[in-house]
Amino acid sequence: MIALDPTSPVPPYEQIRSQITDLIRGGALDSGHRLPSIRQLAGDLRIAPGTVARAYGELESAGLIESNRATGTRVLPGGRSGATLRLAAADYAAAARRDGADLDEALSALRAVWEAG
Amino acid sequence: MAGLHPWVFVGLIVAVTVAVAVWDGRRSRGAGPRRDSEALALAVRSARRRTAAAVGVTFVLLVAGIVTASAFPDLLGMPLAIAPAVAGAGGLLLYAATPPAREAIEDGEARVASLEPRRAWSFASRGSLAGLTALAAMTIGTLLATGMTSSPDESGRYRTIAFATETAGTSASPYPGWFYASPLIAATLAFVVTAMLALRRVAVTPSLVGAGLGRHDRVWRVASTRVLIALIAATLCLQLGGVSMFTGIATSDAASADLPGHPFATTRTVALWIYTFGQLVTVAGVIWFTLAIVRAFRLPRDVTTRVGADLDAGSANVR
Repeated sequence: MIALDPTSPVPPYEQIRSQITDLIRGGALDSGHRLPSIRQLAGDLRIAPGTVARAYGELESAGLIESNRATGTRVLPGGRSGATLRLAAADYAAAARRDGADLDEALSALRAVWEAG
Repeated sequence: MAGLHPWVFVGLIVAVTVAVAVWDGRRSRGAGPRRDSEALALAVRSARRRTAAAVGVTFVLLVAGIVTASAFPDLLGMPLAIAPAVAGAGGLLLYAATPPAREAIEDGEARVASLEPRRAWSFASRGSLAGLTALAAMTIGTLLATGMTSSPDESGRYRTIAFATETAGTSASPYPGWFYASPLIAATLAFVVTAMLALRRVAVTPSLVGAGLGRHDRVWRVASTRVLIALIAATLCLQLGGVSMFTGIATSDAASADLPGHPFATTRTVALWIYTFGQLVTVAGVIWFTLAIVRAFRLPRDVTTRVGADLDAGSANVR
């Protein structure tokens, strides 16, 4: 499932792109998994099809999915993060929760370390 | 069935089917309390309106075909022959063309969506899809077989079955030869396309807005698909049953007297089997059509019962 927050300052296409990216990187969407059609996802989220098309286009450019008229949109192999990274992420998420941090705070902390290093 | 008027027989089938469906509905009513969301209630009202309209239009077109065939005997029964496919296609086309109700969304309300693609066949069981495919294939196969075994009548129309030896011959009509089979094959193929469009309409209808409604969303889609499946099965059964009965009757009539050196005992037995098969399939068609009506009008209660059962199962798991 993905959720769209219309009150968020993040544009809808970016919310869709980032959530699908996270699901692919985290392994929730395996290689070969079929994504819904642009029309279905746009209808369910009550947004313009062009918004979903833009998100799918960016995911395609990033090499995470491929779209084909005959077979629809599928997750490409190789998008999943490595096991070491996923384990480390799980440890970090658990530590952040223990400290009472929310997702934004945890991401900020990670981004700060990343950019400093 | 001897001595029983066909319409009385049809009435009996309808009465028994309704009684069984109502009994089954009462039996399962205690499965759960009425607990549904505003979004689900709107989706269900819209689903019932559309399925009931589809079944109603099918019924009206079916009756129109029967009346037209009786009023215009010069048409040689053609309106009756194509009535099931045309009526079913009309009802399903209406369903496919009717847009679903659009629920109002509050500004700023979060929306969720599943990342599982929905297809025309996503909400029907494999068994029912296989059954419908087999029925459609049998209908087309029977029409091709009767077309290939038909003979022209005195006007050159392929609506006769004929047996002949070197010295004598016998024939009977109406037989579903190419005269009937060609438009029937076209009508059946058109019907299959409209059936796919109607099932696709169920799939492409936007999901319920709001988190945690995924199961509810599936329940109304499954209930709507059950109505459509019953309607599709009814149409195909009435089509195949009618063709089989006329095939059996004409074959039996043509083989009623043995030709010199050419006994027809086996042919008469086969004709009787085909006729009996046609009767059974027609009865199945009447039952399916009655079930389509019952399911269409009972759709809201079926959905709330199912949702209630799901909620009860969910709370039991939590406990």
